[in-house]
Amino acid sequence: MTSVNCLSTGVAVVKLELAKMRRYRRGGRTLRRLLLGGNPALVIGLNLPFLVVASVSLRAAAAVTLELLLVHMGTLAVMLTVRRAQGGAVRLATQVAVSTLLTVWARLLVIRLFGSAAGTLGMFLYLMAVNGMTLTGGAAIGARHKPGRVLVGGLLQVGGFALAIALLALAREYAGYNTLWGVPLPATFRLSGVTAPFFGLILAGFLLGAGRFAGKAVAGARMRERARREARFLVVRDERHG
Amino acid sequence: MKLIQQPAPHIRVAQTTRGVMGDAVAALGFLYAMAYYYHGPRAPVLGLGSVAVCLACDVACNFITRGGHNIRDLSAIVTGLLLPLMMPATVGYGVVATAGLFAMLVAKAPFGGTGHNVFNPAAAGFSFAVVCFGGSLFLYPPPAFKAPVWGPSDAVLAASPAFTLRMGGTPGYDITDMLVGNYPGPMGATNILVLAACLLYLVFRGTVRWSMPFSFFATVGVLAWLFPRSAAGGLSSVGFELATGLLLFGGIFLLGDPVTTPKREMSKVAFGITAGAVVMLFRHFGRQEEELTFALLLMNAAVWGFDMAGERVASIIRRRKRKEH
Amino acid sequence: MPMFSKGIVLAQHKEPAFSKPALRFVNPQTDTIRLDVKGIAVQTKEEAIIEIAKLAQIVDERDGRLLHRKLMRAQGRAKIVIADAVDDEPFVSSRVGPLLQLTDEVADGLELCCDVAGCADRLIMVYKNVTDLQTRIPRSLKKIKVMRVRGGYPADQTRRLRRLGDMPRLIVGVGALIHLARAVYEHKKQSTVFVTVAGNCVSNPVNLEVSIGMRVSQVLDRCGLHAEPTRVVCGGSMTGISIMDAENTLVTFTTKAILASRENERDAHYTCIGCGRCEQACPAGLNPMYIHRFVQNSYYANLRPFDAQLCIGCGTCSYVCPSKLDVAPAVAVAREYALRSFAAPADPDADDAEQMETPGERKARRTAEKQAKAAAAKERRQEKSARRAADKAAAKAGREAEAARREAETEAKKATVEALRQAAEQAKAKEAQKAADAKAPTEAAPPVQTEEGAAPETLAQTEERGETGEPAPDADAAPVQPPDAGAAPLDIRGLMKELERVNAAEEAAEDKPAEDAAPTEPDKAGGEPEPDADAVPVQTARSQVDIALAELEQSLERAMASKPKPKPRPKRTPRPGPEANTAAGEEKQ
Repeated sequence: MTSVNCLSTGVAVVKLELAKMRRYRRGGRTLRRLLLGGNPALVIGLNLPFLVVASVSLRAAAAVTLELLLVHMGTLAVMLTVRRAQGGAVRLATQVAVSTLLTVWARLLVIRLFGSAAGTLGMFLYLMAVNGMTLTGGAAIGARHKPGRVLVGGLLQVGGFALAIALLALAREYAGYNTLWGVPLPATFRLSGVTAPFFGLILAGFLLGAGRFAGKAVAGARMRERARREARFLVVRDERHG
Repeated sequence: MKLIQQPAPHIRVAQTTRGVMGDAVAALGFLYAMAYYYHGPRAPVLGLGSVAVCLACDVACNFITRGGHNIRDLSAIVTGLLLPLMMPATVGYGVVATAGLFAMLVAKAPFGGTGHNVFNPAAAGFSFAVVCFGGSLFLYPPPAFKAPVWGPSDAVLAASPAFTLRMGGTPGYDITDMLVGNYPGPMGATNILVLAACLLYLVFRGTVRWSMPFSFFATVGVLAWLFPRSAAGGLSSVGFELATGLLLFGGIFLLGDPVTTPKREMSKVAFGITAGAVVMLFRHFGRQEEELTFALLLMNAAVWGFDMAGERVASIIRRRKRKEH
Repeated sequence: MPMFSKGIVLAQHKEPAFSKPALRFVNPQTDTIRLDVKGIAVQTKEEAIIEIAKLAQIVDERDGRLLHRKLMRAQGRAKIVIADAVDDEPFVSSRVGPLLQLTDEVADGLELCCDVAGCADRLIMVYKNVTDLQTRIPRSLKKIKVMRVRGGYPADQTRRLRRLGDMPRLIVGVGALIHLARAVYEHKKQSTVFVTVAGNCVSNPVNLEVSIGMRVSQVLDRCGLHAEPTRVVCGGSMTGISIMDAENTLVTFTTKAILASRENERDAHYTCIGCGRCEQACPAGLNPMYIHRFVQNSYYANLRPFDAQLCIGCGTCSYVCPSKLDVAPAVAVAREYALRSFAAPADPDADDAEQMETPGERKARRTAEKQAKAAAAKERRQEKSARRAADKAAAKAGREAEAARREAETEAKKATVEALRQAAEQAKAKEAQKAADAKAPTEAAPPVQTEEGAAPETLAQTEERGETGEPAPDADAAPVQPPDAGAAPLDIRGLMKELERVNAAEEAAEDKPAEDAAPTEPDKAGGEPEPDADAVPVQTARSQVDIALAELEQSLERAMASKPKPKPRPKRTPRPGPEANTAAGEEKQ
C-alpha cells in the first residue's frame, strides 16, 4: 500500500467520523469567541444598530466601546453579587437600575474624554443601557456559571465588539471623511455614502461572512491535520503488520 | 460509440441565456447611439469603462468563489451598460466605477452571482452613487453639449424637468422636445421614442414580458392623473410624470430584469402595480428628485412574497381545472 | 389573460424521413410467423377479431396496451373509432408516415375496429403544426376524414375531441391498425414496429419497419452514421430515453424513434436567470423554475404548494430553458416526492375507461363519486364524533369509579385509624396481661390484607376482642423503644395524611387494580391473588394491632425518607410480621 493510498484512506476515515470532527472544531473556540462566536455586535442582533451607527469614526467607536465596557462589566459584576437573590423581579430591577446608573456615569466620562464625538451619538448611548441588559442576560449568566468565567466571557464579548467596530470604523472613517481619529489624511476619492447606515449594515454582513469563512478555514485546516496524522498512523500500522 | 446518458428532452430551443442578455445589450446599444448623437464620444467611453469594471469584477468573483458559472452569459455587460445611462454625460469615471463596483461586489456576488441576486445590481449601484455623490448626479449638461472624453468640461449644468416637477412647477419643454430627448437629463433616459422602440423590441423578442412594464406605467399614469404634482394637472401631469426622470428607462430595463422580478404572469402584474404605487409615493414624499431605484430595491425584497402569493392562486386554479377536466 | 399555456410550437424537423418511402428492415425468421386460426371457435365476427388480435399479440404503440383488451372494452360501446397519427414530437413521423404509405391497411384496420365496436364513424387524427412537410396530408384518406389537431407540443387531443362531440371513443395507433389488418387478412403475428431513424448524425433519415428484438446499433448502421453521436435516444425527442449501449439495447413494441445526435457543449453551465419561460410554457400550469430550485437545494418541505404531482412529464420546461438546465428531471424528482409524501397517485387505468363513457355516464359517475366522497367524509365525521363521545363517557365513568373508590378507601382508612386509636386507648386504660392467644399465627405473618369491604369488619372484630384488654404499643414509639404509658396523644391526622400520601404514591407507581389497593402491599404484582387473604379474619386482635401499627410506622419512615417511589421490598419476606412480633415481645418483657 503506497503512502498516497494510505493518506486517502485516512481522509476517508476521518470524513466518515463526523462525531470526532466536532471535537476538533472545538479547538479555536477562544479565538472565534473573541472574533465572532460571542461577539455581541454580530451574534446578538440588538447590538447591530450601535455597531452600524457608531462605526462612522474611530473616536465614536472608541466611545461606544468604552461605554460598553463600563456598563457591561459593571452590570455583570453587580449581578454576580446578587446572583443568589430570591425572585427574578429583584434581580431584574437591580440590573436595570445598575445599568442605567452606570450608563449615566459612563456617558459623563465619555463626553469628558471624547468630546464632540460622543455627543454625536445622542440617544444611542442611553439605549445601550437597556440593550446591555438584554445582552448580558446578567441574571441567567450569573446564576449558571462561575464568577471568573462570567467576567472573562464578558471581557471577550467586549473585545469582540471592539474589534468589529474598530474594523468598520477604520474603513468607514477613511472612505467617508478621509480622516483617521480626526486627523485628515491625503486621499483622492471620498465616498460619503459609506457613512450611511445601510452601508454599515452591508459592511457588518461582509465582516460576518469573512468571519464564517475564517472559521471554516480553521476547522478545515485542523481536520486536514488530523487526517494526516491518522494516515501516518495507518502507514505505521501497515508496516508493522506487513 | 461513446454515449452519455442524458435526461429527456433531447432537443433544446435554440435561444440561450446569452441570447436573452444579448437582446438587452442590443436595445441598450440603440440608447448609446442616441447618447453619442447628443453628447459625443464620452458616452460610449463611459459605457465601455463601466462594462470593463463590471466584467472584471464578475470574472474575479467567479474565480474566487469557484462558482463554475458560464461567463459568456453577458449579464455583467448588461449591468455595466445600464449604469452610465442613468447618469449625466459629464459624470466622472470614478463615479461610474464606484457604482459598478458596488453593483457587482455588494449587490450581486455575495448573493451567489448571476441568477441569485435579490436586488437589481444596476439599481443598487446607481442608488449607492446617489447616496455618495448626491446632487452632482442630478445636474445635467444641455442636450447638444459634446462632452470631452477626458478632463473637466465647461458645460453649464442645469437641473432636469424632474427637479421642476418635484418643486411643484411645470417643465417648460414642449412635447416634441420631450419625445426626442432634447432637454437636459440622464444620458439614456431622455429619448422617449427610442425607449419605446426598445420596449417594443424587447417585448417582441420575448425578453421582457409585456405585463409588468405596462401595468407599471398604467399605475404611474393613473396616480399621476389623480394626484398631480405640477400645477398643470390632468393629462399633462401624466405625460410629464412618465417622460421625466428614469421612469421609462427603469420600467423597461430595471423592472424588466428577470432575476429580480416575479415569474408568474399575475404576480408580474401585481408587482408592476405595486411598484408603480411605491415609485409615486417616493416621488411625492422623497428627498431626492429621482428615487426610482430606491423604490425598485425596496420592491425587489418583496419578490418572493409576490411569487408565493401567485403560486397559491395558481394552485387553486389548476386543481379546479384538473377536477373538471 | 390565458392562465395556462396550451403548449409550445416546436420546429418539427420531420422532413427527410417523412417523405421517403418506408423501408422494411426485418428478421426473416420472425417475419414469416403465421397464426394458427383454425383452432378459433367463436360465434361472432367481433369475437373472432378480438381472438385474432389476442393471438397476434398486437400492442398499441400509442399507449403500450394490448389491443385486444382495448377492443374488448370498446365492444359494442364505442361510437367512434379514431386512428391516432398525432406525431407531435419533433423528428418523429413513425405514425403519420405509414399512414400515408400503407393507407389501405390502415383503412382495413379501422374497418375491423368499427366492426368490433359496432359503429360506423371513423376518423384519422394528425398533427397540424407541421410546416416543413414536402408531402401534403390530404383532407381525407379512403373517404375517411382526416382531422388536424391544433396546438403546440404536447398536443391536446381531448379538447379537439370534445368539440367534436363527447361520445365513447376508441383511439388506436396507426401501427396497431396496420398489424390488426395483417393479422386478420394475412394471419401474420405482430413481429415488427414502425420506427423513425433520424437525428443530426444519421445519414439517411427514414421511417423503417423494424423487427422487434433488433439491436439499436443494427438499425443505426442500416441508416448510416456520418458523425459520431454523443447521444442516442430510443423514443421521441422530447420524452425518449437516452441509452448508453446501442449494441445491447433492442427495439421494442413502443419504440417509435431512434435518434442519434451530437450537440454543442459550449452553451452549458449557465445559471437560472429566472426568466419564467418554463412557467409560461408548462401545460400543467406548474412553476418548474421554483421546483427545480428547491430540488437543487433539497428544500423539499417547500414543495407542497407547487403541485409537482400534476406534472405530465412532457419535458417542455427543459426544452424552453435558455440556460439549458435540466428542469424536467428535477420536476420528476419533485413529482415522485409529492406522490410519495402528500399526494394521491392517479389511476393509470382511469383514462382508458373514461374514453368509453357517454356524457351521461360521466356525469353520473362524477356525481356518484362526489356523493361517495361526501358520504365517506360524513361517515368519518360521525365515527369520529361517536368515538369522541364514547371516550368522553368512558372517561367520565372512569372518573366516577375512581372517585367512589377513593371515597371508600378513605372511609376504610379512617375506620382503621379510629379502630387503632380505640384499641390503643383501651389497652392503655386496662393494661390487661391476657396474651394467651397473641402469638399463635405470627410466624407466617402475611402482610395484612385490608380490603375495602373487609377492613371495617376485621377491625370491628379487633375492637370487639380488644375489650378484653390487651396492651397495644404507642403509635409514636418506634418498635425498638419501650412503651411509654404517658405518651402524648397520637398524631392521628398526621399519620392519616402520611398514610394516604404513601398509598397514593404507591398506587401511582404500581398501577394496581382498584380492588387491590391494600395500603400495606406496595410491592405486589398487579393481578396476583393473595394467598393469605382468608387468613386475616382469624388473626388475633393483638397481632392485628401490632402489625397494623408496625405498618403505619414503616410507611411513616418511608415518607420521612422522602423517596418519590417506594423501593420494592424483597419479595415474600414477611418483614412486618416478625418485626412487630419482636416489638411485641420486647414490650412484654
